[in-house]
Amino acid sequence: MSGAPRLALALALLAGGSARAYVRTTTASNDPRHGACLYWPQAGFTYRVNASGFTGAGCAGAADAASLLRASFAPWMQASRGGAACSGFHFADGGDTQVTALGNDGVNLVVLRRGLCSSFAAADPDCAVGASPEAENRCIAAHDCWSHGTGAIIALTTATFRVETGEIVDADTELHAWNADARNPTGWYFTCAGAGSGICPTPPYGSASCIYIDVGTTMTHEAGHMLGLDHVCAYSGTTCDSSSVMFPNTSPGKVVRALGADDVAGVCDIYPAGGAPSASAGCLGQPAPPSSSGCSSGGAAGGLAVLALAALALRRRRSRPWSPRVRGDA
Amino acid sequence: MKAAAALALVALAARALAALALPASVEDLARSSDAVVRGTVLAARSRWTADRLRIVTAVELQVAIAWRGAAPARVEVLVPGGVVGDLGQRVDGMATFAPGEEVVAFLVRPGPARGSAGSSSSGAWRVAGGAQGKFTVSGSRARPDLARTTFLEAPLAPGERRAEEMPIAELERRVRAAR
Repeated sequence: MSGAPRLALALALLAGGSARAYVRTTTASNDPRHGACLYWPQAGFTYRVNASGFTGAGCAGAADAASLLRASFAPWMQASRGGAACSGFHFADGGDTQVTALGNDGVNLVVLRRGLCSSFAAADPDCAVGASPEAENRCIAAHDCWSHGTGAIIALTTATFRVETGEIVDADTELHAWNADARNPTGWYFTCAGAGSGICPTPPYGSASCIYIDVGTTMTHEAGHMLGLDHVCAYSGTTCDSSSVMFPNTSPGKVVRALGADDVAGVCDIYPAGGAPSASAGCLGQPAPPSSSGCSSGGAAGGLAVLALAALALRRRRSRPWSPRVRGDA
Repeated sequence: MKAAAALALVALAARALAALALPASVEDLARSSDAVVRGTVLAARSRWTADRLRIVTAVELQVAIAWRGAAPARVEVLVPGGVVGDLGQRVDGMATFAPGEEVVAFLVRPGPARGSAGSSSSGAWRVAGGAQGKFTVSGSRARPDLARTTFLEAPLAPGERRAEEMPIAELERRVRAAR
C-alpha cells in the first residue's frame, strides 16, 4: 500500500475515535473501508449447541465442552465500561441439538465436528472428495463431519447476511475436533482446563487437565466474529492490542476468555445497552442506510473521516490495490 | 462493463467472520495439491445449493502455466460462499476469487462425479489450504488474503516458508522444489 492511501486510512480511523481499535466486518472483500458493516438488527440471536462430536480427555465429556462453549458468550453480554454495563447484545441459549446441517436454515449452530467428511466416503458416496455441494451437504448432515479440507483450519464461522444492509440472518460456528484416533489423527485436541493449567504435551491425545486448544478461547473469539467484529490489527492503520480477544494470533496452551478494552468498545458501540444496534458506529464502510440508528463515534470529526475516505477513493484508480498487513508471524 | 459489474458483485460477496487455522508452508501446500497453477480468473458465478442452505461459487480459471502437477488450460474451481440476489454467504478462511484477478492457486483434483441429480458442480477442482492456498499476483509479488484468519502459532519445517506475501519468483521456486 502506498504511503498516501495508508495515511488516509489512518486519518479515517483516528477521526472515527482514536481510542477505538476494534474493526467491524463489512460486506466488502477484505476491506473494512467498503461495504455495509455486519450486525444483528435484533441485537441478539438464539444459538444451539451440538457437542456430540467431542472426544478425548481434554474436557470432562461432551457436556463439559458444551458448557464451556456456552460460557464463552457471556463476556460479550456482560461487557462494562467504568463499572457500568454497556452491552445490549443478547445470546439466547436455545439448548442442545442434534442438528448438524450447515447453512442458512434458521438455526445458529455451534458444533464440534469429528472426523473428515472424506473419511466416510467408502460407505457414503456423498462424502467423496469432489462430490457436489448438494452431496456434501447431505454428508455433513448425516455424519456431522468436517468438510473444509484436511489441513490447517481449526474452527470457522459461516455467516449469511443481507448484502445491502449488512444484517446477519444466520451464523454457524464449527470446531474441528479430534477424531479420537491417536495413530491417524485428524482435527484438533480441544481442552477445557482454565488458565494456570499446564500446556499439554505434544502430541496431546489422551491428556487431561492441561491446555492445548482451549474451547473457551476459541469460542469467545468466534463469538466476537458472530457479533460482527473483525480482527484487531489485521489491517494497516489499525492498532494492535495482543490482549484483545479479537487478536489474530493464538497458540497452544493459550487461554484468553476475557474481553480487552477494544473488545468492550466494539460490542458496546455497536450494541449499546438500552439502545438500538448501530449499523454505523465504528463502521469504516459505506454510510448506513437512513433507517439505521446510531451515529458514528467520530461526531464532528466524522466529516474528516468522510473526506479522507473520499480522497482515498479518488486515488484508487492509480494506486496499487490496498493490501492489509498480514499478521500472524510465529 | 460486464467484467466490472461481475467484479463488483464478487467484491460485495459475503465477508464473513474468520477462521482459526494452522499456518501452512508453501511447501506443505504444494505437497497437498494435485496442481499448482498460475492463471487469470475469467468468471465467478454463485448459486444456491439445491437445498438452499449454502451458496457456492464456480470460478473459471484460465491457466497460464502449471508450476506443479498437470491441469487443463481452463479449470473450474469451486469455492464456498458468494452472493446470490440480496443474500451473501461467506465461509471463513476460504479463498475468494474476482474476475480479472491474476492468481496462483493450489488445487486439489476433483474426484469421480458423485452424488445425485443436482450435482452440476461435481467435477470441479477445490483449493487446498483454504485462503492460504490462493495468492493474488500484483506486479512482482504474490499475496494470500489472510486478514480474516487467526493463526495458531506453530513452527514450520526447517527451511520452509509460510504462505504469506513474497516475491512471485520465490513462490514459484518453493513450489517447484517442494518434496
